[in-house]
Amino acid sequence: MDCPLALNTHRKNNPMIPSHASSILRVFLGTLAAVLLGTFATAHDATQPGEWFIALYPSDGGSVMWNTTNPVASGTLTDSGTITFSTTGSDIGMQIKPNPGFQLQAVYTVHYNFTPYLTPPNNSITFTPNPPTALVPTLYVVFERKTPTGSFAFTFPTSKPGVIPVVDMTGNYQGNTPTMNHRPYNVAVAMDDEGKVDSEGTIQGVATSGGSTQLAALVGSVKTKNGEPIGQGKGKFEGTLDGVAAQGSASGSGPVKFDVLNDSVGGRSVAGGSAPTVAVAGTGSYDAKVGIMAFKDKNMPVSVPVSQGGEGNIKKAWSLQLDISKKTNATTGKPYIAASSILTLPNGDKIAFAEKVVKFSVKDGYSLKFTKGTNTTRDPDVLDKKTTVQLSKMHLEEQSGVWKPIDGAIDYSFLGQKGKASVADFVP
Amino acid sequence: MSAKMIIPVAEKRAAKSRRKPLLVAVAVGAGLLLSGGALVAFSLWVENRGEGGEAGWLTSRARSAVTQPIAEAVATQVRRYVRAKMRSAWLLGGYSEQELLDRLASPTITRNERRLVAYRLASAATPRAIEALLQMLKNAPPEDRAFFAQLVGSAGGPAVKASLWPLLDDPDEKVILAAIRGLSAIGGPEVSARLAGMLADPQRSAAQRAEAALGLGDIGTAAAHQTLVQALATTRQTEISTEIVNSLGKFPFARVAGTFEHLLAAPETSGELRVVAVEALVNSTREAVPFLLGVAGRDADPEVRASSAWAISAHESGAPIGPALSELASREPEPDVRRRLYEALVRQTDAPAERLVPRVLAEKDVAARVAGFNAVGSAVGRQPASAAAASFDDQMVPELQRIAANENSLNIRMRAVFALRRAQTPSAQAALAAIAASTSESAPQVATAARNGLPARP
Repeated sequence: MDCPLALNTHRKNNPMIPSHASSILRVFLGTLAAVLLGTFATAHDATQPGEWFIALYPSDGGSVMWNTTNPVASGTLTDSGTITFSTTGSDIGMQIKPNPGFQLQAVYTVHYNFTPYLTPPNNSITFTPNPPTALVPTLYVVFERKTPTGSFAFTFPTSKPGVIPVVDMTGNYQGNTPTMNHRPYNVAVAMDDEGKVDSEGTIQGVATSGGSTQLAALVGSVKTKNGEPIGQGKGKFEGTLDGVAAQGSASGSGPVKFDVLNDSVGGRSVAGGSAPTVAVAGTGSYDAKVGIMAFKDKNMPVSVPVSQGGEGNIKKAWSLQLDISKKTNATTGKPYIAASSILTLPNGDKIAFAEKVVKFSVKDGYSLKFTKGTNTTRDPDVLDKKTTVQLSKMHLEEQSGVWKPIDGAIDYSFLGQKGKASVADFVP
Repeated sequence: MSAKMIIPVAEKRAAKSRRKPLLVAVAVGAGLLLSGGALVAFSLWVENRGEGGEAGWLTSRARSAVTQPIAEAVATQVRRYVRAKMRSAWLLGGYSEQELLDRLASPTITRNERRLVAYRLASAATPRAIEALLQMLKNAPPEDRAFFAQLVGSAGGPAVKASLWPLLDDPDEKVILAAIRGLSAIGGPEVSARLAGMLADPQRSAAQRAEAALGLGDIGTAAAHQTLVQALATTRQTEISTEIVNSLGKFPFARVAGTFEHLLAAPETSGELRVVAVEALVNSTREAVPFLLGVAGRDADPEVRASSAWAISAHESGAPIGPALSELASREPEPDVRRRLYEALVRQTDAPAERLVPRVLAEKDVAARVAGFNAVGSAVGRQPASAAAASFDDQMVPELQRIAANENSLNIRMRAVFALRRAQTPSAQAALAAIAASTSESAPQVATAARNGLPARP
C-alpha cells in the first residue's frame, strides 16, 4: 500500500487501523467527494511530510478541533485546512463537531474509512502517522444535512394583530335589544363546517304567527373579506309583538368580533340596569311594520349589546399538530419521509390528515398540503372535503437537538374562511 | 336625564333665526286649515239641504269634490302624525328627543351609551337629531368617526351628502368604507357616479373598490346595475369581482336574471365565482327562487347545487316550493347538497313532513340527518297534530337527544337542539329538559340552548 496512512496498518493492535478497511460505498462516496473537491485532492496530496490536509465537506457542515503532541499544539478548523506536526513523530488527536442541522457522515481517506473508530460523544479519534515522514493523503470529513423530523405544534396567535383569523361563532348570545324597549333576547347560533349559520332564539314579547316564541332568527354565513371574518345574515318575520301584528325583514353584515364599548367614563346606561361590556357591531337594513307603524332603514351601523361572557362564543384559537418522520418502505426497503397532521378547529372539531410521503430539500425546506382529512369529532367520522392547510417552503432549525420551524408560509382554509400567514407566527 | 345639554352660542343664534320661517309656516298652515274648514262647512251645509233632484246632484258633487278629499287629507295627515309620533316614541326608547340630545352632548356619556343614544336619534331622524349627529361627526373621537359617518348617511338623507363627500378621501380607511355605506343609503345619481368612479379607480384599495361595488347594489338603480355589469366584464381581481357579483345579487331578480344565467353558464366562470353567484341571490327578491331551484336540481357541480339550496333557505315561502325541495332531496346523490335542501325546507310552510320522514331516516351522514330532523321538526311545530309529529316523537326525538348529549361536533349538537326547539312537542320538550340537565357541565353551550328552548317559567 502506498497510502501514507496505510503505514499504520502494519502496527498491531492500533485501534486507529481499520482491520476490515472501508466499505465499497464509503470508498465510492469518498472518491466522489474527492472528485467534487478535486482542488483539495490534487492540491493537497502534495503536502509535505509533517503536513496533513483535512477537507471538510460541506465547508459549513462542522469543525475539527485538533491537537498534536509534537509540537504540543492545538487548534480548530472551521473550514478545510492543514495541520502541521513534527516529522520526528507525533500523535494527532481530533474531535469532530457538526454544526447545527448537520450530522457527521464519514471520516476517511481514499483508502480507509475511519468512521467506525470515532469515539462518541465527541467523535474523537487519534492518528499516528508511521513513519512520521510519510506523505499523508487528504482526510475527508464529510457531514450531511439532517432531515428535520419530529412533532411540531402550530398554534394560531390569537393575540397577534394582523394575522387573519378563522372564527367559530357557535354559542348562545343574550342581552337586551338596543331598540324595541330593550327587550331581553337570547339567540343560539350554530355555525357549520362551511361557515353557514343557523340560529334559533327568543325575544321577549315576540311570537310567530303560529303563536310560537321560538324564532328561527337568521340564515347567514361567515366569510373572509379584506382579511377579516365577516358575518352576514338575513331573516324574515311574521307574527306579533306584544300581541300587535308585526312583520318585516332584516339583513345585516359585519365583522365577527366584539366591540368593547364601555371604555369611556361612567354614566348611567340608557338601557337601565348594568351596562353591557361588549357588542356585536355591523351594518343593518330592515323593513318592518308593527301595527300601523312602519320602520325602514338602510345601511344603519348597528351595535347589538351582548351580555358579559358572550364574547367567549367567538372562538378563533386553532392548532395544527404536524408529525414528520423517516420511515422505510416495507416492500422496497427504501427510506422515505412521512408526514401526517391533526388540525383542531376553533369549534373543537379535529380533522385528521392521513400519512403522506413528502420531500425535503435544503433549499426549499418542506412544502406540505393537507386536504381531504377525516373529521373525527363527528360521530360517525366523516370525510372533510373543505378543510385545507398548506405549509410552503417551511424551513426548520435545530435548537438543542430539537427542530423548530423558523420560516415559510401557512395557508389555511376551513369553516368557510381562509387566511395566510408566516409559519413563524404560529410557532411559540 | 339630569345632564344639561351644552349648546354653543352660535347654535342658539341659529335656532332664533330658524323660528321666523316657523312662524310663517304656522300662519300659512292655520290659514289653510281655516279655509279648508270653511269649505267643509259649506259643503256639509249643501249636503244637508237637498235630497234628490237637482239638490241631490249638488249634494253628491259637493261630497266628492270637497268634503271627502278634505276629510281624507286631514285624516291622512292626522294618521301620519300619530304614526310618526308613535314610531318616534318607540324608537326613542321611552325618552324624549330632548333628553337624548342632552345625553348625547353630555361629557359623562360612555362610548356604548353614546352609540345607543345616537342610534335612537338616527332612527327617529328628526331635523334636530340629524343636526346633532352631524355635530357629533365633526367632533367624534377617531374610534367613533366611522360609526357616525355611516349613521349620519343612513339617517340623514340627501341633506348630509355634503358632509360625507370629504370622508371618501379620509386617511382612515374605515371612515371611507363607512362613508360609502352611508352615501349608498342616500343614493341618487351623484352618489352612483362617485361610487362608479371609485370602483373603477385602480389607485383605490381593493377594500374600497369592493365597498363601492356593494354600495351600487344598495342604490339599486338601472345606472348602478349597468356600471356593475360593465365592471364585472373588465375586472380581473377576484376580490372585487366577488363583491360585484354580491352586489348584483341585491337587485330585484327580474333585472339581473340574465346576468346570473350568463355567469353560471359561461365556461370561463370559475367554480368559486359560480358558488358566489348563487349565494349572492340570498339578497335578491323571491323571484330568484325558481332559478335557484333549477340550479340546485341540475348543476353538475355539487358545491353550486348545495349553495343554491342554501340560498333558497333565506327566502321564506311565497310560492309553494316545499314539495319541489323535497323531491330534489329524494334524488340528490350528495349528502352535503341534501343537507342544504333540508335546511331550505325549515323555513317553508309547505314542507311535506310525512314524505320527508323516511328520506331523512335513511340518511347516513349525521349533518344531513340532523338537517333533515330540523326540516321535519319545523313542519311538526307548525302542524303538531300531523302524522309526522308521531314519527318525529318516536323515531327522531330519542336520536336528537342522544346526539345533543354525547360527543359530537358542537355545531351538530346545537342543531340537534334546534330541531327539538322547532318541533315543540311534549316529547321534544322533555328531551330538551334532559339535555339541559345532562350537559350543563360537559357542554354548557348545548345546555343553555336546550334550556332556552323550554317554556319560560311563570
